[in-house]
Amino acid sequence: MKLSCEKITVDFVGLRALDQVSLSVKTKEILGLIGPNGSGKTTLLNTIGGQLKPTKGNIFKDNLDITEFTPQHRVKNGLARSFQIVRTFDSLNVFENIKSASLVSNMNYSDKIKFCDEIISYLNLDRIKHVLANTLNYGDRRRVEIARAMATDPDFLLLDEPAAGMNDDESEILLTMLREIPNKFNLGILIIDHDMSLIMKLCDRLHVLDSGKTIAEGLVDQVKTHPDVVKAYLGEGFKNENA
Amino acid sequence: MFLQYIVDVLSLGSLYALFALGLVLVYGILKLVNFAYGELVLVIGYSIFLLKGSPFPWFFMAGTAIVMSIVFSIFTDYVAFRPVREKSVTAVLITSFAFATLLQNAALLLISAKPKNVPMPSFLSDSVQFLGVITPVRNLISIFVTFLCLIIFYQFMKRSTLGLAMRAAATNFNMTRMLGIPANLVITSAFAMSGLLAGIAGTLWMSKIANVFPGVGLEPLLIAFIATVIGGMRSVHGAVLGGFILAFIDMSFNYLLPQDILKFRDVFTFSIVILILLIRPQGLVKGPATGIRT
Repeated sequence: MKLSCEKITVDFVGLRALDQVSLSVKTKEILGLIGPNGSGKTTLLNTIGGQLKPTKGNIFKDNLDITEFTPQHRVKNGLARSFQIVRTFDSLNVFENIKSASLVSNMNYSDKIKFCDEIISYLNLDRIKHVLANTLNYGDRRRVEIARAMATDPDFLLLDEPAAGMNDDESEILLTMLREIPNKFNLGILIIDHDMSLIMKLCDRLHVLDSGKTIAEGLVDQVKTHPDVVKAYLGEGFKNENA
Repeated sequence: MFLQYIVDVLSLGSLYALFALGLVLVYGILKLVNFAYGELVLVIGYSIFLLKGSPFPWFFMAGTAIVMSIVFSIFTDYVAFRPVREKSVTAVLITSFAFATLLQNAALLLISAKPKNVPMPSFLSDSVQFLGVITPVRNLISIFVTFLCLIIFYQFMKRSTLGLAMRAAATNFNMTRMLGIPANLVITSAFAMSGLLAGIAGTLWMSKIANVFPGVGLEPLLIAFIATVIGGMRSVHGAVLGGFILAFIDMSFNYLLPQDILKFRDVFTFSIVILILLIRPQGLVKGPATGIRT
C-alpha cells in the first residue's frame, strides 16, 4: 500500500506554508519528515491527516483520492496520527484510552481486545494498563497516544514529534519500539522529529523541507550530506565535517 | 419509622437519580443542557394513554412507551441540536425550549388540556408491609429497577467500546473526532440512552402520579436539572448522588414540616440547594470533564 501527496500547496493569509510538496510512504517503510522550525512539517502532517485542507494538490491512498475526506473518514481508511501536544483522555485509564479508539476498526470484539493487548504489551504499557492517563508521566502518555492511534488498526501511522519532551533513555527505548512497528503491524510510518540522531537511526528514507519547499529526499546517508540540507540546518558557510 | 424513612428516600431518590443520569449523559458530551428532556415523560404518559383499551398487556404498552421515549430523544437531537450544534449555546437553549413547547402544544391541541388517566396495573399500588415499613409495591420496584439500571449503565460505560468512546467524548470531544471515532454515532447513542433512562424513570413516575397533562414534563426536568447541578454536572456519579441528595432533602421536609407549611416545601428545598451551591458552586462531585465545549 502507498500513501502519497502530490504537489501539495498550502497558503495561509500572506504566507505560502507549503509549496508543491510531493512525497510517498509505502507499507513497512519509515519516512522521516525533517526541516528547521517553521519549514512546514506539521502543516504537511495536518494536511495529510485532514485537519487542514490544501490550497492545491492531492493526497492519495493507493489510487483513492482522499483530499476531500474528513479526518474521521481518513481514519476509517487507514490513516491514524498522534499529535505534537499530548491529548490523552484523562478520565480513562490506559487500557480504556486505547480501547476507545478501537471502535473505529472493523475487527470483531474479541479480536479488538486481543489487538489492544498486543499493542499494550508491545509498547511496554502492561505495568500501567489500569492507571488513569492523567497520572502518567510525559513519556508514558506519549506512548499511550501512539498505542491509541495504532488501535484503529491503521495502514499508515503519522507521528508528530513522538519523542518530544522525552529524556535520552526514553527516546532510545521509543526508537527500538518504533523501529519494529512497520514489520510487526504491517504499516507505514511518517514521522516528524527534531531529534536528528533518533530520526537518522529510525528512518529508511528522509524528506527535508525548508520554508515550505522540498530541498532533499532520499536515503538517510544521501540526505545527511546533501549541501542544501546542511545549509538549511546550519547556515551558509558551515564546513561539513562529513563531506 | 427510621426504616420507613430510608425506604421513602431511596425510592424517591432512585427516580431522581435516573432522571438526572439521563440529562447529564447528553450534557457530558455536548456540554449543552437538553431542555426538551422533560417532554420525554410527556411522551411516555401519552403513549401509554393512547394505548389504553388496546388488547396488549400493560408491560407491552410500557415497553412501547419506552421505545417512543428513545425515538423522541434521538429526534430531539436531529431537530433541536444537530442543526445548531456548532453555533452558540444560546441557540441550542432556544431550539431545545422551542422543541419542548412544540410537543406540549401538540399534546394540548391534539389530545386535551385536561389531565388524562394513565392506566397502571393495580399491583403497583398494592401496599406491602415488612419490618414495620408500609410501602406501595411501586416504590420497591423503583429501587430495584434503578439499581439494576445503574449497574448495567456503569458496566456498559466501563466495558463496551461504545461506552468508552462516550466517556472519551465527554473528556475531549474534539480529540475523539480526530481519532476518527464517529462523533454522530456517539452523540446519537447518548441521546438514545438518555431516552431509555428517561423512559424507564418516566414510566415509574407515571405509576406514581397516574395522570398525564401537557405540562407534565416540567417537574422531572427541574428535578433532573437541580440534581445534576448539586451533584456536579461534569460526572455521572455526581448526577446520581445529586438525585439521592435532592430526594433526601425533599423527603426530610415531608417528614419535618407541619402539614400547613408542607405546600411551601419547595421554598425550603431550594434554599438548601442554594446553600449547597454557595459552598460548592461546581457541584459536590468534581468530574473529569472540563465543562468547556471542545
